[in-house]
Amino acid sequence: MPKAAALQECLDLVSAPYRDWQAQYPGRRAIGYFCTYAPLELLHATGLVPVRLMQSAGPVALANAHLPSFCCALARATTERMLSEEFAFLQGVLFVHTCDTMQCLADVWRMASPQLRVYTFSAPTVLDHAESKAYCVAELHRLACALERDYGASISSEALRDSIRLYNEQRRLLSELHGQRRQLSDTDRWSLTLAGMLMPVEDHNPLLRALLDAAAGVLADRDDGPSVYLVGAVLDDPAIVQLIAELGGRVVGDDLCTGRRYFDVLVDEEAEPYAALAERALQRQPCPSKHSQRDERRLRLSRAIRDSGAQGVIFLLPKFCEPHAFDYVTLSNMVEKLGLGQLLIETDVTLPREALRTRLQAFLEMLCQKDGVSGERRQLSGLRAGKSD
Amino acid sequence: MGIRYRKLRTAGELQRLMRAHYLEGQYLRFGRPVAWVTSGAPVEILRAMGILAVYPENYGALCGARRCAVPLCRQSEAAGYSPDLCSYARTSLGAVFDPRQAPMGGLPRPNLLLACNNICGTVIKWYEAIGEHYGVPLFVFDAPFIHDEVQPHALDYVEQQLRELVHFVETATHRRLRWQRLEEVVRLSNDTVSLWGEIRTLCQARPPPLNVPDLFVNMAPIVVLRGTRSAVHFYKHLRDEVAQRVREGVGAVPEERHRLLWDNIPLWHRLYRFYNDFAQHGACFVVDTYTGAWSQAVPAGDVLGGLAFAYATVMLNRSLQYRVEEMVKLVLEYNVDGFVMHNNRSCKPYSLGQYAIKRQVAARTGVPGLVIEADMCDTRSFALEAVNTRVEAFVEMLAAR
Repeated sequence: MPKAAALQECLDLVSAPYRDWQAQYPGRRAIGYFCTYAPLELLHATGLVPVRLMQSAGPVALANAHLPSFCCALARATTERMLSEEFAFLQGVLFVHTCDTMQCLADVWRMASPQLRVYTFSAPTVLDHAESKAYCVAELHRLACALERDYGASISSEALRDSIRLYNEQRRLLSELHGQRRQLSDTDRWSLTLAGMLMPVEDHNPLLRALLDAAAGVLADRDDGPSVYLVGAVLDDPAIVQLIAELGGRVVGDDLCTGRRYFDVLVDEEAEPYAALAERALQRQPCPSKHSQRDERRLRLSRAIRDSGAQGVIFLLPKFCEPHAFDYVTLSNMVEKLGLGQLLIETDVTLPREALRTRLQAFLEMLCQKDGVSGERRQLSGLRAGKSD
Repeated sequence: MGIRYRKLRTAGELQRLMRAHYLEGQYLRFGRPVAWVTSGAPVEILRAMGILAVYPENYGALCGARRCAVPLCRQSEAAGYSPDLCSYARTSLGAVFDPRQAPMGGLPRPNLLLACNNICGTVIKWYEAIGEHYGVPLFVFDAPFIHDEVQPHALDYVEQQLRELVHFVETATHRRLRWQRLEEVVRLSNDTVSLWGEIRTLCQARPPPLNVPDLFVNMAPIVVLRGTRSAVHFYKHLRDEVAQRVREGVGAVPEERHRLLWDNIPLWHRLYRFYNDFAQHGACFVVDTYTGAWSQAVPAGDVLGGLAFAYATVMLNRSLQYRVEEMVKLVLEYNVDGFVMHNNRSCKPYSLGQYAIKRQVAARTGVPGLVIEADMCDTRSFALEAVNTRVEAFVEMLAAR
């Protein structure tokens, strides 16, 4: 597939993921999921295509009868889509226990739509108790039994291993995509990443491989300009990344659950598959709703930000997200100690684009001044951004 | 226009008990380590090891009731915590950051922390912040949420953590757990809990001997002194007084006309005033879902298995459907004419599913419900007039039925 066509397929899917999903993938059975702790391999080995449920733009009206206003946009917007039948193509939805909101949302959906098959996976909250792994393995088996019962499938170890290999391949490719920053624009990179959570992994992997091969040696739009690291929850709309690029900035790393937290750390392909899936869940970069006695999250993030060479950190905090809001204070102090600039962007149902542009521009300019980048170069960046508009 | 509030004789005893609890932590420690503990944590293990347990949640409620939570919340917000976060957490952290502003100078400095996520996930982050501030060890007791049936592997996981907890406390405090003492504490805990259950059941009487602010005020020892002799004594006295009211036909509210059920944590900042507005219309809250969360006993048999079961299966760790069933049961048992749900901005696990619960409970029982939006401590999230209008309309509707 030529580069342009492959990219366009991803961009189209990301801009309107759900409405035409079934038409685009006829004969495939989709199951919805929200969170990177969802054992995608298990769903895949059941013969289902895991499709990530994200916020995307659009008004929220019907959901107001089911959720109060002090609830995050992800919960409210996806509930709106569920109520307006946009998720009718899904065979079921898997809720993983992370935060209080996801915990309630599973039950709210069950009660609002009794015909919907809702699966739950109560992943451990503490990652390093003596029995965290044993519990996680048992819980994976419980989920597997429910899936086998409902889809008439028997999940063999071999099938599960095959699924693990496919998702590992996707993780490697996404890792490569995010590692080789010069070959694709930031916006394209994020669209490609999100597309991987929406389309069948068998389709995404070759598409990504081809794009990476085609892009080898090609220089993307820029390699200078202030560099930023993104920290937060779900980035479902590449608009923020696009804005950063338009203003001359570069995203050089992230700790997002639609980013590195999705593809970081591989599953062991040799080990017993359930144990291997549990092991990855406990070993990967944790989400702030999880607890580890060694404070793994902050230690690793601090290292990753330093290694990325980022000049500043942008926190993308969804309004009403408790785990991230608590985490923000600790991480903000950490960034301060690292001597880097930082910006907090609170996100909600709609993205106020112009206000955001002004704030991002001021922040990126501040980063340039801080690092003594010459005014001339900044001006050049501004000109380039103007051209690409 | 006020209504006569029928004060309990045991009110003085409660006050002395709670004052002693706070004084003990501040001044009468005698070298005992202090633990900060969440309301749903297995405190029996700490008590059996002679560790003083204090409760930031109870402290938050106390600050809310004294109407001094907002300045403390502001302290946390100045440190970067979002005003959308739980107001107990913001109040407590504000008191940690600036004890001079806090009632009683805040809680005594902790030696260790114990948080259990069976009530919410917020406590994990909140206690991580406390642990970081004081540089003291934190044990997070992980009780997996129960969407359907209780899973044996979840109970195993919880029970194993109780063993880890014992080891953790022994390492942190150089004290040893005597198992016999633990069984004694669990017995006291069960005595307290069953007295509390008795008191709540007595409220099925007509006229109801207590109104829900009585339950809220008197629940403090079941949380902070569960497993102590003094709590058992106190609840015996309270039980006797409530039973006497029932025998003598003395009601908490003069002229009870409507019996109501309350859901969620109260508005601590206008505890009596809020319920008095209802009482003026002859409406008495005879039962609630919140104070009932502490009426679950530790099952007999192996003590760790019993504790694991009791703490893994508390009401807030169970599905919305389970909460519907429980509320339906309360509506029938207490012969309730209506229910009021506090959609509490501070408490997502308790509040996010209330619309769904309301619809099902109303449909199943034929009893109407009212949802009001407010906050348990933060008065800035409370619109008095808007709430009053809805309360009045609701009570009028009850009267017309």
